[in-house]
Amino acid sequence: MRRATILIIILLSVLPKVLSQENLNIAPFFSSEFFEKNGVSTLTVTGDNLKNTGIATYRSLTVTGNDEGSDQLSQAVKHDGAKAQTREVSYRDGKLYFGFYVLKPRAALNRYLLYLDRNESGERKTTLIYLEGKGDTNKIKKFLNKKDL
Amino acid sequence: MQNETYELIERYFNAETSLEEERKLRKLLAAIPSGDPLANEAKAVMGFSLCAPRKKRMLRITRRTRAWLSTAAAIAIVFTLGFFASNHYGNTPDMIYAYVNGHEITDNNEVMQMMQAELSEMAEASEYVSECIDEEWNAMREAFDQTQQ
Repeated sequence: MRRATILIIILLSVLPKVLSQENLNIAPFFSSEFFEKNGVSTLTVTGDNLKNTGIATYRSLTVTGNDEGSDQLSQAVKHDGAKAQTREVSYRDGKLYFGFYVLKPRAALNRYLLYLDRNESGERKTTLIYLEGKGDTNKIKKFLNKKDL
Repeated sequence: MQNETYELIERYFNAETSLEEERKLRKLLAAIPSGDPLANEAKAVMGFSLCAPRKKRMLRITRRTRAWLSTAAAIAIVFTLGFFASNHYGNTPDMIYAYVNGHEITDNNEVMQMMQAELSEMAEASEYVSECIDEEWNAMREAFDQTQQ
């Protein structure tokens, strides 16, 4: 009886975390309020469109010519990156230039963040990519370097 | 008929009646009007036995049974939630779209090209960061070698 009760308590304490999307600081940037703004573009590709890549969800966000938006995005990425399992980051002039973060898996799916902050034709351009799927880090790196999908 | 009744009553009090005879006696007693002392006595005894509260059939649930039931319930919950979770997360629905400056793009090829472009930029940045790390590492190694000489 006691064992069963403990099992139920564990399930009740763990399942909400599994079933509800773990709140990432970057999540609000993928809401329509943000991505419908000027200078912002977003991509969403899921399911069969990513067949054999080890990725189930591809979401990206690019902010162009909007320093405030880019700074906010950078802050959110740094916060989420701080909780990442592994990270490869590079800073330029005190600013986050590139980041590759392996987040904690959710519902048996691996999650990755890729971030890039650069200047293009005199404009600041920040791109964030969120990947979710069963592929491991090697598979993701192969996907990154794939020329034809 | 009355003789038969008395005979059955006597046999009943002597605990010699069969179940069928008792049923018959009940019917016979029902037909006898009140006033007959022997019949009344028999009615009272039989009436008591008819009206006496039946022993409740208690479903005996031992601790062990309860523990098994709880475990079974917990397993059922896990399977139900597992089924829900696998349906919810296992099959990502096919989606492909983009928003650029608030305008929706639904052309699959265009979206895939945009994704490709983003990945290429990320790959370049990743390579650049790797090269920087290599350069730094080489510089460190050279410096280390010099101190060893």
